[in-house]
Amino acid sequence: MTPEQQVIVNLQKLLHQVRFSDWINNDIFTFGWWVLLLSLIIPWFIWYRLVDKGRLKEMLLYLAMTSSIAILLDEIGSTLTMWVYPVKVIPILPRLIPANYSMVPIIFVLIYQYFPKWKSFIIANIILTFVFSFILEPILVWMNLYDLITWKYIYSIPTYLFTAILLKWFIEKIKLIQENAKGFKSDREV
Amino acid sequence: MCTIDPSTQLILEYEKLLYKANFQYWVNNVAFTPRWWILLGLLVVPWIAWYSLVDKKRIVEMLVYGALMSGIILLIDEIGSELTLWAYPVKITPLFPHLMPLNYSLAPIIYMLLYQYFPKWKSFIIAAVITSTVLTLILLPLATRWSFLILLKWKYVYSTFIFIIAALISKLFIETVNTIENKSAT
Repeated sequence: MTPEQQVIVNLQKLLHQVRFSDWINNDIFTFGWWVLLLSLIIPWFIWYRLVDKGRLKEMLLYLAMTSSIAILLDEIGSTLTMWVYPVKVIPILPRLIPANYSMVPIIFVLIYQYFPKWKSFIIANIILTFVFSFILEPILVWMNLYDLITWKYIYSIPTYLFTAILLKWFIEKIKLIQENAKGFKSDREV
Repeated sequence: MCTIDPSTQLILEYEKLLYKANFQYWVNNVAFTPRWWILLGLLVVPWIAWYSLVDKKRIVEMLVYGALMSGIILLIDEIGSELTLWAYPVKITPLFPHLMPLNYSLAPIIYMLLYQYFPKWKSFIIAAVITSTVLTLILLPLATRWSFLILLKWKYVYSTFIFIIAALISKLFIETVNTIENKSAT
């Protein structure tokens, strides 16, 4: 290992030590921590009751893609210290896991399910992004679960909206490829 | 603007330092070097190969399998990097701690194809064991030798088990999903 690599490894070790002692001393079993834990688990139960099980794979694909984009964007923003999460569910995953692994993808996928037409889908998502950016995110800040450093609430709006639209477009493309492949085969068989 | 408690402020300072060090290292030693181009190639090329090999009649199912596999590997990588169990000297961008080509391309694609080509459990298990062994006991040591990877508190064989278990869990999961879907369709 070169000296520069050693510096990075040592800094990462220190950062984890600080995160861990902050979590033990200030986070675990506090009110905010329980809120985060429940918002990680409960949406999954609600989703399983509401999901259209005849299209489960399609819904899972939309959900997984939303989740991975949320994780990716959260990773970039946190690395660049645009925001920080004072309370963590577990210290080994320093990002906002209830949002990335549960709330955001589940709400997004339910909108995708209930609003199959593009027009209503876009309207529903515009309303949702405003609720996320101007109600839910400020509540998180007020509860000391989220601190904005260089980020502004309004930047979240195009991010959420663009993600939802891009993914619907992508899944529809994929479905079309699948339908075409199936149709092509049955034509040949006939 | 908003008040930040002192311990969070401390974390923030360390995060800033870490990013500065990562970025400096990346600009001076990594960006646009042959190793960097190799990683970029490994991220992009497998997807092109995948698209010509995938069974397009089941492309949604294949992608769900790949997404799950990718998600598990990504989670483990995130945890291992946070705990400094390993480190990646060469990164495509300094923004992510992970080995992107493995998590976002190689691993999900290789296992998606195994899932497609070995529909029976017995042959799938054998294929997953062989592939995981090759990946983790041949490819990862080579990655270390070519300084793409530094193991700090880790052994290659742990990765072997993780890959095998992740592949089996993903297959079990998607078969359950298929069963639920077929039940509600009829």
